[in-house]
Order: sequence, then C-alpha cells, then structure tokens
Amino acid sequence: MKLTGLVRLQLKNNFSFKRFFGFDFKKNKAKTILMVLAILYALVALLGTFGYMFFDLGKILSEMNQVHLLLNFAAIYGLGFTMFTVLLRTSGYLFYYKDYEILAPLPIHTRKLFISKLIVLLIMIYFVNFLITLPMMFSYFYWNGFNILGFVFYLVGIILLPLVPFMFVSMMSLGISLLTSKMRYAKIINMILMIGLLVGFLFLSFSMNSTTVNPLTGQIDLFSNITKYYLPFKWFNQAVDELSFLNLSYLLGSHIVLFLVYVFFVEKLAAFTNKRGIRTQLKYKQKTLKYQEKPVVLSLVEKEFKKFFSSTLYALNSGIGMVLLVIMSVASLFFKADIEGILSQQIGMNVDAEMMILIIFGFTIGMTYTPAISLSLEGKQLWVLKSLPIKPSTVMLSKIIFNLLLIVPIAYISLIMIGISLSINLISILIILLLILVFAILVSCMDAVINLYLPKFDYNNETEVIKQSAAAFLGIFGTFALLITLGFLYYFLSDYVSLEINMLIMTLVSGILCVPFVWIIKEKSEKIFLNF
Amino acid sequence: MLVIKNMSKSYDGKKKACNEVNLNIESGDIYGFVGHNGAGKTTLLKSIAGIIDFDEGDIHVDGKSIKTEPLDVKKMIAYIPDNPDVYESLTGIQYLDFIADVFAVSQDKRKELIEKYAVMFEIQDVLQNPIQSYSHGMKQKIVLISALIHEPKLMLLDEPFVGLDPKASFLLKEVFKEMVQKGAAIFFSTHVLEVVEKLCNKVAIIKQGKIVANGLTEKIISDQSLENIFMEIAKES
Repeated sequence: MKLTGLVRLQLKNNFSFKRFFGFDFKKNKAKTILMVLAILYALVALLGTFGYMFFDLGKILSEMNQVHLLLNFAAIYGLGFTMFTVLLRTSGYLFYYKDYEILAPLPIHTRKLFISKLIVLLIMIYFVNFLITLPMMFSYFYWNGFNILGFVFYLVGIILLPLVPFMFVSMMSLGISLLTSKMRYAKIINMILMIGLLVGFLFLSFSMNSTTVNPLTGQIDLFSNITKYYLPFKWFNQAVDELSFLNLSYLLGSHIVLFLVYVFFVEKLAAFTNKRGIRTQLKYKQKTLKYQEKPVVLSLVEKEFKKFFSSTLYALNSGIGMVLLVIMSVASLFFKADIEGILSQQIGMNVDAEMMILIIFGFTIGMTYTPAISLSLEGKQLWVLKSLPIKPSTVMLSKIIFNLLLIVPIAYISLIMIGISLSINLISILIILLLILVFAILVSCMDAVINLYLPKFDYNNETEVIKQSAAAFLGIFGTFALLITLGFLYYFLSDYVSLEINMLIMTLVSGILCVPFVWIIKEKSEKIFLNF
Repeated sequence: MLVIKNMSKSYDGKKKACNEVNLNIESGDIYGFVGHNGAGKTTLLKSIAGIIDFDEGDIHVDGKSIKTEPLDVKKMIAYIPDNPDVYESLTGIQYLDFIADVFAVSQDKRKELIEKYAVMFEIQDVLQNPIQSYSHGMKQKIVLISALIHEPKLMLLDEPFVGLDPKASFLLKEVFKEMVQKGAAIFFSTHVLEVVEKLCNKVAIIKQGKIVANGLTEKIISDQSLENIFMEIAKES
C-alpha cells in the first residue's frame, strides 16, 4: 500500500465530516444547514474577536515600530498549541495507537506506518495552528505591508517551527506514559502535570504584564524574551521580517536534519512500544467489599464523576474553565492593584466592574461543557442506560447536576474571593451568585439538549467527542451567543435601571430561556433515546 | 411471559430487519434463537429490551407493553449484549452497585447475590479492580452478574457463550436451569447449535427478518440434527 493511500485512509477514519458531525449530510439536510450556520457564526465570532484584538495590537506595535513582534506571537501561539496537542495525543497516535492490531498483521513496513501516523498528526496540528495564527498573520501583513516572498517565508516557518517542540514533547509524552503506567492514579498525575504547565504559562504571562486595555500587550515582554533565547524563533522572525534567505536556510536545515534523525530513530522506538503495549499489571489493594444503597440520580452522578476524573482529556478540556476561575480568583488576592487598574479602564469605558466579572464567569461556565459531550461519551456503553429502567430525562438530569456540581461551588468560592478582593458590595455579590446559578443551569440544559440532538457514539478516540465534535463546538459557542444576548440586554437597560435591577432582569431572562430546554429534555428525550 | 405480535422493524424504511415476527415465550422456557449473520436476531432482542424502537406490532412482557410502559417492562428483564462494553472507569463492585441501585435491590440482597455469583464465576478477587483492567471474559462475567442480581423474570442474551471459558459456560447453563425452575424465562441468540439442542426446550429460527420455524426443540429437530435443518432453511430462497 502506498503511503498516500495509508494517510488518506487514516484522515478519512479520523477527520471525515461524518465523524465530526456524527450524521450523514445527505440524509439530514435541515441539520446540515443549521450546522453550517452555527459554524459560520462561530468562525466569524472567533476570528472577529481575536482578529480585532490582534489588529488593535498590530496598531499599537506599529506606532512603536515593532510590528515584527506579531511574528513572535504567531510562533509562540503555534508552539503552545503544538505542545499541548502533542503532550495529549502522541502517546495514542504514535506509540500506542489503537488500530495497531489491525495494521500490524498487514504487509506494510513499520516505517511507513509510523510516517503515516506522523503525517496525520502533523496535518491536524498545521490546520489548527493556521487557524489560530490567522489573526496574527493578517495583522502583521496589514501593518507591515504584504509581500509574496515574506508570505512564503512565513508559511515555510509555520510548517517548520512546530517540528522541534513536536520531537521534544513527543518524547516527554512517551516518558510520562511509561512513568505513570505503573501508577494507580496515572490519570490524575497526568492532569496535575498538564494544569501545572498551563498555570506556569499563565503566571509568566501575568507577572510580566503591565496594565493596559488590550490583554495581549501583557505578553509582549514574555514573547520577546522567549524569542531572544530560542534561536529558531529568531531565525523565523528575521527570515520573514527582513526577507533573509540565510535565516530561512538555518531554519530549514536545522529542522529538516533533526526531523529526519527523529524519524529514523523514533520509528524503531514506536514499533517497539506498540509491540510491547502500555498495559501493565497493577496490584490493587483488596479491601472488604462495601455495599451501598443510593438513589438512582446520585448513582448516575457518581458515575459521571468517575468518568470525568478517569480521562485526562475530558477533565482537562471541559474542566479548564473552572481551573482558570480558581487561578484568577486566587490571583485577584495577590494582584489586586493590577486588576483594579484594568477594571478602572473598562469602567472608564462605561462597563461596570460587576459586568466584567460576569463576563469572565460566563466564559468559564461556557468552557465547562460536560453535558454537551457526556451523552456521546457513553459511546458503546449506551446500551447499559438504554436497557435499564431509568427515564432518559433522569439520565440527562444527572448529567446536568454533575455539570452544576463542577461549576457552582468553584464559581461561588471564586466570586467571594474576587468580591472581597475588589470590595464589591454584598447586595451585588448576592445577585451575582443567583445569576451565576441560573446561568449555569441554562448553559447546562442547553448543552444537554445539543448533545441529545447531536450525539456522536461511534468514535475511535475520546478526542473526537471532546474536542472535535459538533456538540462540543456548539456547546461552547452557544454559551457565547447567550452571553452576547445578555450583554445586549445590559447595554440597552443600563440607562434606565440600576445595575442590581439590570442583573436581576438578566437572571429572570436566563431563567425564562431555560424553559424550552427543560421542556425538550422532559418531553422529547425518551423518543430521541430510542432512535440512538 | 413474552408475547411478540406482528413486530416489524426497518432501519432504512425499505428493507425490514424484522418482518412480522410473532413469538410466545412462557415462564420456564429456555428459548434458543438462531439465524445467520444479519438475519435480525440482535434487532429483535434490542427491540424487546426497549433499546431500539420498532415500526409495527407490539411486544408485551407479563402483559405490559414495551412501547407504552417501558420502565415497568425493563424492571422485569435483563439484557446482555453480544459485546460486554461496560463503564471502564468503574470498578467491578461499583458497576454492580450501580445496577443494584437502579433496580432498588436492598443492601442485604445485593450482598448475597453478588457474593454468590462472584464466587461462582471466580471473579470475587477482582471486584475492586477497575473494569478497564479486566479481560473480555471477565467483563462478560461482570455483565452476567449485573443481569442476575435483580432476579429478572425474563433474561435476553445476545450470544452469551462467546468469550466465556468452558467452566463459566457450564455454570451459566446451570444458572439458566435454576432460573427457569423459579419461573423465569430465558431467550438467547446463539450460533452454537449444539447448545440449543442440549439446553433449550424451544427454538426459533429467523431468516431475513422472518421467523421461519419455531416451537419445541424436539419437534423441530425430529430425527435430524439442528445443523441439518438450519442448513436446509438457509438454502431455501
């Protein structure tokens, strides 16, 4: 079999439209139209927001004659995404891939298999990197002036730059997998390591921040420093900005040679690890068995907790919002002056501090989207719930309760910390507590309905559900749409009513918006479940 | 116990996976269900268990319709699929506790039955291990125990002997016999025709969604082997 055929097959298996959306386009025309509209909205919202921020940053940098720094942003954002993707996915993609037992007996050279897996992973990284860095690229070429050679150099750089972090982190990922495979709490240890990395990055970014309106300007110092010490970024920057062939050849030569060496050696390593397998026999303590009677809903919620904490990918992606909230609220106690500075500038633009806090909470609640994916994650085990005497609405209720248990306690503690730190009055805090609860219920119910209508039970890897499914996508961006709706309400009412009344109205509207979702869950889920 | 009347099901609106199926399974029956791959065995079992909907006809368990009273029916039955995919993040005992909670099995009863069957199928030492560490056969056993701990009136099993070791297969047959003596009914699909001949008092053969033979095993077989009959039916167009 040719390498191209192998790559095509794996791309089809991993990234076909049917796999992404979970349904056949030809058979579901109405669903397809809705999905296309939702994706267009999401792309416009995402690229619009980031596009505006980077366009604004480009303007600031242009005034300082430092537009080339945007190239650092592109390089480092690409690096960040590459590192996280590789850390989470290389083990399952290269060293312990699930279809090994299908592919290994076939007469295909192990090197060809390895290269095909590598190409598929790289294609995914390049595609997302390109989307992430699009606003930076646009801003750079807008403010610096467009030229074809610079653009070609830029593309070559964006293709080459992820290779070194890829090689380094893939070995790290293998090391972590091997190291933790014999530990009983490997998943939790992995999770802590990942969160540690993320917090470290945020802390560095925040500690070098000087208070300004555009949050991206805070990263300039950090990114300039990284570029100073990491030569490939410097070569990339100079190659594109100064159209330097010499720097481009440094970049090309070093990366291609290193990558060829990597492929040569790691191909053998991957063949070995796949043959050996990761499964190791753990010894479990044998305690006396305990039998506990519980109400069904509690039992279902407990099952959700176990599932959540048993998957690093699931917990990291759908729990990161709450982790960020905790970090922000703790940081608010230590960086009070900085936050007050940012808030005072926003307040100067007629935005209340309470609203800024609500926007942050709204985003983090939106990032906690477990009901949008947890039904899909039942996957091949769905038969268990379908065959048991449990109402489908009860199943969905347990998923909503689980999400609320993830959000509400953390949000409440964070709000109290931020409230104390920023001296927000008690009445406002109480109203925000109520609004957060109702908004969290609204988002959880909406996510549950999205997953009911857009489930994806047939998947090879949980990533397809957690990060790449239409339901996950709509869950997150649906929340942003709700936030925009409430934002408009705030904007139009702020001239007529006090902030407290405004927030109470937002709570009421959120409550009213819950009604159709609750109705669907109660009345429609049984019929929908039967069609799965 | 189980009455299936003119049940039909189509996945694409054209070809019928089950076509006007009629079956009557009584208490005390061990009913074997055979047919070639894709004949409609799993579709029928899933429809009885309320896992999938069907287009025409009705299915009653103990007088209750799966269409109108699904929860009441599900309380009386246990379904075991052909592949034991269960919650891998739970330990064996957590999974069994979860099922017992759903069926509101009392603490004493669940303790008694879990211990009985865990010892019988020799998995008592791994109950506290995560299911993801289990072999295929161990998962099959945990699913079997989960089906037994609420003492169902009707047990539906899709290829229950696949993946079980000879001892577990023997024990499962003994459990079937014990259950039917207490008044339950067993309805299972299999490709192992010898099992049907030796174990089942009744058998149904399905071909392209239609039941082509059903009734007492000894009458269906007469003086031939079930394999011969099955092959003859398969040949007929």
